[in-house]
Amino acid sequence: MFRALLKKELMVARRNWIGIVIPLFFFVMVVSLFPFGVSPEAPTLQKIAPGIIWVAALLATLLSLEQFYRSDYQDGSLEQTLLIAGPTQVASAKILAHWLLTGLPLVIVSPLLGILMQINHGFIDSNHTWVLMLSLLLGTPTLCLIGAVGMSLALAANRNGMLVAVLVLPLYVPILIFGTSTVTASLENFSYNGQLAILAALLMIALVMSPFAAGRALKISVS
Amino acid sequence: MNSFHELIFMGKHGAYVWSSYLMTFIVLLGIFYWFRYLLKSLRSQVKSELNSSDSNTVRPRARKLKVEKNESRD
Amino acid sequence: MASRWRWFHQLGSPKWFFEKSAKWLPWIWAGTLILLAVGLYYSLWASPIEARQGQGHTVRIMYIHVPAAALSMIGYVAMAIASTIGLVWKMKMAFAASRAIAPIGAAMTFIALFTGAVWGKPTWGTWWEWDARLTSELLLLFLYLGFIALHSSFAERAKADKAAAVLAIVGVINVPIIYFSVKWWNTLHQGYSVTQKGALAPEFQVPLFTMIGAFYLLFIGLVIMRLRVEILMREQKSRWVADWATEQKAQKRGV
Repeated sequence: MFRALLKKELMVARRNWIGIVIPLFFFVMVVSLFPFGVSPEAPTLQKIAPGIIWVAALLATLLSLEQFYRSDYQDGSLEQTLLIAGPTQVASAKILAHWLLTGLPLVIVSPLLGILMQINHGFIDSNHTWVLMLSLLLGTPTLCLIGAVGMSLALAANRNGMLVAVLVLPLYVPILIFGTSTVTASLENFSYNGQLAILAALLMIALVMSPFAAGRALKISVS
Repeated sequence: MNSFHELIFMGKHGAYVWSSYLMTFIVLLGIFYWFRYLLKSLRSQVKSELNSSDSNTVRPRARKLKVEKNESRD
Repeated sequence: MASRWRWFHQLGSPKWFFEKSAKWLPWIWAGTLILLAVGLYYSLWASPIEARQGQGHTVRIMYIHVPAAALSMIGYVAMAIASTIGLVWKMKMAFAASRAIAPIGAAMTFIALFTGAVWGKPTWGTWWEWDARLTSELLLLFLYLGFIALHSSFAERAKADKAAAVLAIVGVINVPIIYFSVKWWNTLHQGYSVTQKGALAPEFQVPLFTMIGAFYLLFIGLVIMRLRVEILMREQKSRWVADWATEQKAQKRGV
């Protein structure tokens, strides 16, 4: 059942492939604005890089939520799906599809942003890029999971994406804190295992709670 | 606290202390009167709608709170 | 067994609550005023200034800052508990209560932030410090605003109740996580916390605890007032509301 649901989500997304690519464009473009706005000098960029890349990833996840939930809800197919499958399953399939199509690509393009933001500047051989990717790999699923709850809650309310942002952004703060501090610690040659462990713990908590809460919320929105 | 003068000026921190007390007072009293006003306007609304539909023809379908209509605050 | 749970069923009846709470409110306000009078007397006049850390008179801000901050957090927890009761037992009054708590909790959070900032200026030399507690309080305000925004975005009240309830529960699970991560982040960046907790000297305890009591009663009173408004909005069509509105005596105890 779950596989069928996931397959359906992926099929729908394939027809709307440009919607998948736009968050990626957004991610790269937002980050590349900062050298213009702040300073193109490597030390400055390096200092702000973790925060900017993370905030951009967070916003890209948030903006891409809409297309995974809204059209489904509006054409009534969500209600149909909820009749044949459990709400937690439906929510999990949506979350996984969302992460595969937005979270994972963000992780994959992040080395490019690392280069743009000069995070390897001044180091001969360094693994900062790997740390950045690893932190995003552990963090973006949590972003998708929490975002799913907010989006499902806001579905039935006829508001634009701003409402979701207002609901979800305060909940994103812990992930932002530990995500950026992982990369910062690596840049300052400190140990970053603790931060990664906490990111993983946050992921576990969200993994247990979010599909259930999001399913519940989906159920409410179609009731 | 020894004198009235000290109560007003609080060393040199009178402005800080009094402004926070004043702000708290304004916010809480504002909430109090806002809720009171809401209750009263709802009451008069129910009353007026009862009067208008006295000849029990059709009960109003649904009433919505329309506060901005009756601005006549005492 | 049945009689033991009667109060619970009675609380679930809007009519019963609406009628009873009109009798409770005068007592609550009387208690609030007495406690406030005593508390303000102590906090503004009959308590010493803080000499050990050189705060002087600014310590008086604490007597409203701490109660407001405490109630802002307790209010959120109460809202989440009411939401849970509403979702589990399908109790409409619990949803109404959670909606009633939200604006007052947000106001308490705002007061805590405002007084914290005003207190910060003379003690730390700046209006705003990214201190762990102030930051968590700011995020708590965002959570309250999210709840109100979500609840007000729906056309149907039943959906709004349930959706906002889920948000409140998700939020209350996140509050400790947010608090600890902000605290961790704060020690990382500053190496110390500006609002260090020390043992409170007894002469500060009397005004503080009186004010906390006064704020509790005030909070309860305001929640009941808001809840009465909420009940009226939900029960506009029922017979007893019409009776209440036309009843002449009710004019006197209009609150």
